[in-house]
Amino acid sequence: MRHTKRNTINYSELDDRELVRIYRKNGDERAFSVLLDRHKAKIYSYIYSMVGRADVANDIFQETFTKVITKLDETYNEQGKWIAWVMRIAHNATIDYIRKQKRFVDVNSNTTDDDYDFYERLPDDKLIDAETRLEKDEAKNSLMKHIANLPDEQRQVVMLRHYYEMSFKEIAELTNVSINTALGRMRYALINLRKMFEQENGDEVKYAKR
Amino acid sequence: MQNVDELCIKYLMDELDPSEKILVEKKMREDPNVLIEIESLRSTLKKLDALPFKNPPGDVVDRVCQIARERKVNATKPIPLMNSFGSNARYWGAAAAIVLSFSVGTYFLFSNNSQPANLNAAANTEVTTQKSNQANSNVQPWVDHNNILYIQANNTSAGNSSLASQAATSSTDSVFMQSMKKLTPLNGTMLNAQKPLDLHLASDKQE
Repeated sequence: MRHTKRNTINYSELDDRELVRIYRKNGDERAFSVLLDRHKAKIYSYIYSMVGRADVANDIFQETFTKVITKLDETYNEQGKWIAWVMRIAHNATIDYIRKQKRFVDVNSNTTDDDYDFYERLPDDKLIDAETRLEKDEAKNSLMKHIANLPDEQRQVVMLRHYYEMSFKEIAELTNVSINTALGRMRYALINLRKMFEQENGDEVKYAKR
Repeated sequence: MQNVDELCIKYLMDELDPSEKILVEKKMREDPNVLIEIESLRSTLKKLDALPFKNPPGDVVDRVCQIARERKVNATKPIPLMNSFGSNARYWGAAAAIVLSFSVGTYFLFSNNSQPANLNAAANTEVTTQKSNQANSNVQPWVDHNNILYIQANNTSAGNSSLASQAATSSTDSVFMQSMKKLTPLNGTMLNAQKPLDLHLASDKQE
């Protein structure tokens, strides 16, 4: 454990395992805060990219870390990576929401996956920021739109790979499929995205010709 | 053998072992369609790098920190011993129940089996049984009219009750029972006598 001359802990230099141990043992909030700062973006981005709504992403993010805090003593095994454990909790919470939402949509809703957009349903105070971002980077926007239109299973694999940097073995374990299935989903996701980009480019060419 | 599509995506995702990698690269050189397919997917995959990372709103982070702080308050309270015993308590309970039931079962099993064995032993080995019945009393050996040696504390009462029960089981008459009651113990020197021993009845002693 790294300490300064005055025997105060330099939290940012500690690895996850040491920070978790400190928080677990002493309830040291600063240790947890460093952990949260270190990983919040990838956890939140994954949740957000899967549900496509800021308010829902906020709830799932909070639910995830509430579980992390309350289950830390009971469930977390220090042998494993803390962040992998957190990712699993976040993934399960996200999938639970999507399943519930699907059941609800199947019966009641007229909306489809075509309505889905990362920024479309942002709260009002975020809308201006989102629109600015849209204008600044149209390519990024279209990418996110296309990803939002992927089937859930394919989007899941793409996001787990991108945000959580998981191997296909880990993705396969997390999603309860074989490695080949996970790889197949990734392949279909790329093929679908390629089609969407081609279609988009084709439309642009059509508009340009008019 | 895996098909080309599987090999392509595995190659792209770096999920092949070196020999398979060489095989795919060879196919890419031989078949331009494979090369085009892989490069096309690679190009699409590269676009994913542009996916942004997004931070959660500050108020959400604050709420999470608040929850973490509340856990801290709980953590500073002394943890009851049972908590440290924790989730293992049910396993300890189950183990105790198994051990207890095993012990009780074993006890009944052996107690039932040993009873007939004792009865048989009592019936077959008179001397041994009588010895065990009078472990804490004064041992005074004596013989009956058939010159059978008995060793027991109260020569008349205990010995006779034992013999009486034996007599009852062998359907001897009451005269025999009465005569047995009149038997008196002999001193130790008589035990060493080689000639047949006389009966000495308590009430009919003849000088």
